Amino acid sequence: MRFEPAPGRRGTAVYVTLRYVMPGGALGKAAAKYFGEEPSQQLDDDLRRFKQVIEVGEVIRSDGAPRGKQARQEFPQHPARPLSDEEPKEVMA
Amino acid sequence: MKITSTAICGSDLHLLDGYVPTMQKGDVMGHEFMGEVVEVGSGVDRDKLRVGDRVVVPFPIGCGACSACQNELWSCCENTNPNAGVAEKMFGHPVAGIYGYSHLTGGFAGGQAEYARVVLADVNPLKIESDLSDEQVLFLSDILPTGYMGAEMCDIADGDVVAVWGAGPVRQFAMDSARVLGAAKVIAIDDVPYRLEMAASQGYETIHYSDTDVRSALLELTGGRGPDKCIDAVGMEATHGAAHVDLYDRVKQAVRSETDRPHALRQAITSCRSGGIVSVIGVYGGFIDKFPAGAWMNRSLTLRTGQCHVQRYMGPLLDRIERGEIDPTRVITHRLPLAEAPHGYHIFKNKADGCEKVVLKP
Ligand SMILES: NC(=O)c1ccc[n+]([C@@H]2O[C@H](COP(=O)([O-])OP(=O)(O)OC[C@H]3O[C@@H](n4cnc5c(N)ncnc54)[C@H](O)[C@@H]3O)[C@@H](O)[C@H]2O)c1
Ligand SMILES: [Zn+2]
Ligand SMILES: [Zn+2]
Repeated sequence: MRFEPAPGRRGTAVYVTLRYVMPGGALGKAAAKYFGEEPSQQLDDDLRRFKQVIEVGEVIRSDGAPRGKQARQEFPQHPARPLSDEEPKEVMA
Repeated sequence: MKITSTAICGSDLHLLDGYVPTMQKGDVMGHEFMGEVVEVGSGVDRDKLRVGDRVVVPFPIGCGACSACQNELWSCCENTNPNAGVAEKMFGHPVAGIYGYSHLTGGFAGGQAEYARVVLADVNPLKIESDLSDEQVLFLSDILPTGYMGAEMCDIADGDVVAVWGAGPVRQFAMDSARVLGAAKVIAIDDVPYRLEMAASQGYETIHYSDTDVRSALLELTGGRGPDKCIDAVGMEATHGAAHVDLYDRVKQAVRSETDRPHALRQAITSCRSGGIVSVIGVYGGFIDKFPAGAWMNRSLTLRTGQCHVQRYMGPLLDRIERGEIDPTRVITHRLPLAEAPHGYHIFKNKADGCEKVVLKP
């Protein structure tokens, strides 16, 4: 991980370099991408949540996306309506 | 919060009519709402918000900390949209979370409801401490700031002629704001007679676009130059006086090769005087055809736009309401219980029963 001043001193830019071997070759990569589990997608989720925690102090969650930014199982989402009493457990699982 | 008043907006019609992707069955709509705080989360600063406070909630959710919020570009907040990935694919960069406005803007439950969860509650809501009625302050959540921003983006100079497309509630406020900001003449363009009458009753000139050639009418009213500033308060569901043009865009929109019908925008660009400003507050969601780039480029026009940065305007506009300079209640034609919302949507969409703006009471 690298932390560098952003252009014009507007904050800090965070760079992550990740080396990995994806099982299953091109097909495996396509499947992982479809399920939102491609490392670059997961990294995008992590970096956005990291920015939220640093700048706002928490991960932003909505009724539709109670786990916050997450490429995995992004759509269809929970409808944009309050979660029922049982749902939080299920949804957060 | 427990909601005491909420309203139906022209933006809700774009959702209802299916032109904004990522709506899901069961979504709670509504982004214009106010009420009373009944519970406060553990992270909220008690000096800023307590149980019992009366608040108006701005429709875009800001975080107050990112570079966009710090520059008062609240509707472009970098942090509040958990579905930033989808928004980024659609728009190139993500946009802020918005209540009740599809999953593209975060999947937040809206305010056409009895209760709502307000996110980052110590940053966004405006506390009302005077005894102004709900109806006087409710529209601070969206349409009053939106209309005002539409006029402000025009950089109105004394003596300017300002033309506004669309005589919906947003437009009425854009016209009131243009006048407050110094416009000499304000012209309303629509084809719904009672909406034009509402504009005429405030002393604005009106043009009925189905019976008149709008560009020529505007030339008549401006000594042949065209309006100095033009505001598009219609957006993606414009209709067109000439049936063949309307049909062209309807077909393209129906087969999804164009998402928006930009008649008002095209006309605003071709009508505006050279060197003028075209300010767009009508909502567009995707892609348009036949953008008059030649008129825009060769005649040195400036195009400005945005979802309203509501938080920027709430305080100053509340002051103007308190001083009696703007009366937001003038656009309300219908007050209905929340249970009659479907009827409210019906008359607002179909311009029936003289409907200009519907307020719902849970
Ligand atoms: N930028 C923002 O933050 C923001 C906020 C709120 C609303 N809006 C948008 O503003 C627009 C207006 O909202 P509203 O509540 O007043 O809606 P509305 O549907 O009541 O008003 C639209 C008006 O435009 C008229 N119209 C249709 N085609 C026209 C044409 N070719 N020329 C002139 N007029 C035409 C209609 O007759 C109608 O009176 C919508 O697109 C809405 O989504 C934007
Ligand atoms: Zn609105
Ligand atoms: Zn922000």
